[in-house]
Amino acid sequence: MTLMKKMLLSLAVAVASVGVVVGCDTDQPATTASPAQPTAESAAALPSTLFLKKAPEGAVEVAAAKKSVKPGDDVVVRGRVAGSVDPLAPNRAILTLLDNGVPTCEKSPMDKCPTPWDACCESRETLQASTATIQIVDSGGKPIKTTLRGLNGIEPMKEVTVVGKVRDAGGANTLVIDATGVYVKSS
Amino acid sequence: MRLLPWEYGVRNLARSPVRLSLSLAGAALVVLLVLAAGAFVRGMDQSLRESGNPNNVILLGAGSEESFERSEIAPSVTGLVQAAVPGIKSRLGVPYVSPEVHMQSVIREARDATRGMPVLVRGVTPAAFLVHPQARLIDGRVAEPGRDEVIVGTQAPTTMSLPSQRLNVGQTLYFDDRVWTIVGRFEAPGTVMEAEIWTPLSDLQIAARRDNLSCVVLTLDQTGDFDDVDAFARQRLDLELVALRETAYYANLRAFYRPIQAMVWVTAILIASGGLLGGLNTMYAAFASRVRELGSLQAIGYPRHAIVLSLVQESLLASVAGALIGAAIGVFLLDGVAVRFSMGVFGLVVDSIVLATALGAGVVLGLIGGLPPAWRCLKLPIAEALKST
Repeated sequence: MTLMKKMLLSLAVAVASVGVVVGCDTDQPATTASPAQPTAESAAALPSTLFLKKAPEGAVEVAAAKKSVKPGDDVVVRGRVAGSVDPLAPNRAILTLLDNGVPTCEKSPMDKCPTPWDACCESRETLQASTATIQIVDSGGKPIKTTLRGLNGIEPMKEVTVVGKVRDAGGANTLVIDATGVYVKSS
Repeated sequence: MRLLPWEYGVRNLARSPVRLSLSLAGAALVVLLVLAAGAFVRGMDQSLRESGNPNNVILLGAGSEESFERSEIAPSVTGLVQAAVPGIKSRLGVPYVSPEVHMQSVIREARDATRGMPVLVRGVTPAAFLVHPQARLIDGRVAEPGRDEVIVGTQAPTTMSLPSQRLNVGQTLYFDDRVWTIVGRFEAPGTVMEAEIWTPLSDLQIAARRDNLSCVVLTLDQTGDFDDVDAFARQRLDLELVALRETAYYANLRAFYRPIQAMVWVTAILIASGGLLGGLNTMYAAFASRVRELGSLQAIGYPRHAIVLSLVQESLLASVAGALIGAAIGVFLLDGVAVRFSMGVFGLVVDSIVLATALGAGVVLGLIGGLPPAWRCLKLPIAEALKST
């Protein structure tokens, strides 16, 4: 083999080695994943009458509902999609509803919360008393396998009013509502 | 194209044995440094990757996703999740659900010892060996509740800077105001668990005066779905839980350590650059003393590019030979060496990728070390080159 060919072969091996190294290790941390979006098939599993065109009457705030309702009651509850870092489940029709009276602290200059909607400045007791879980279930009572994010404008911090039935989910301080109607207030 | 013979470059290397030795040593050191940096980064990465089981889901306190030790959850979560979530793996009726407490404790050899080292102590039940199949008992037996017993990972001595025999079965340790007896040793190759001390959950809770848990780790079977566990956490807001795949937890930790890994690489590159500049200097000196010879070669008809190729060949031969020496030293001395960090201990990994990177660095060193000096020496017109001394 001539010198030129030997040199070119050596160079090719070196470049290939660098390429292997650069091409490897494509790990991405889980926290950088973008929020799940519903597919057409998964969104079709939701009842066609789920999203309401106007706000239902007689809505109460989350905190008031938690004090008065019990499993089996029909309720109309109003609040914001907030109360945790990720209030919309990525692959289930579940969202966290926060009482409108609880301030989120993104407007505070001292805010160090990871997201504007997690209300991390509030005490545990306040959040416990002011949050509820809203879910859309199938005929078997299980949450439907689609995210609610983006459907009919549902995003974190959106005000929604929910019609549904209180579910017995266990725990003294839980409010889980199986929703049959959701109204999303346009901002 | 007329080229200089291969042997011409080889013989020129032997002209100055001292210079050749220095070139070999310099290249070997640079490659060893790059190898060490690569082994460090790969070892840390691999240790955190293999610590996570893709079928495991962790339930921990909301807001504590970056550290088990800050997490507190109710002990009732263990039973509630088994009742509410389908698809949890089980064997002979025993569910793969492991309630755990994770605590950093300062471990001392004896009550009156002045020196102690922080080690992660994990309070577990026997289900821990189901959800963490990487952990295997290799000596002694599992610790029993109520007897102040522990089992230690094979890398725990490294974490504590103690000889391995000091943590043999039958020895004692002191932490949380009591003496604990080592009744077993376990291995968990390539994971951070290997640097931990495990004790019965109830014993650790009593010693630490806590009744809550750090987390519950469960394994899903083929029918299990992570989103069902996530749904459970969202439905039971009173429990203040968050569900994470175990692989996602350790992926977040890997991201946390990226700046440290980047710093290691930057340091290695800076020091290697120093080595490169030294090599350039050596090559400049070596070629500068042969300007008349190179002029003679041009005069008898060898083109400049042929001479440049021959000079680069010399530089490459020396640096690649040094690189192979450095790589051999690295493989024998560095592979598997334990390094302590905040999560525990990991072993340096010298695998094919690390070797390729290090050897590639040696090739680049040879190329960059040879080209500029060669080009500079050939810039002179032939007549002036023949007149130089």
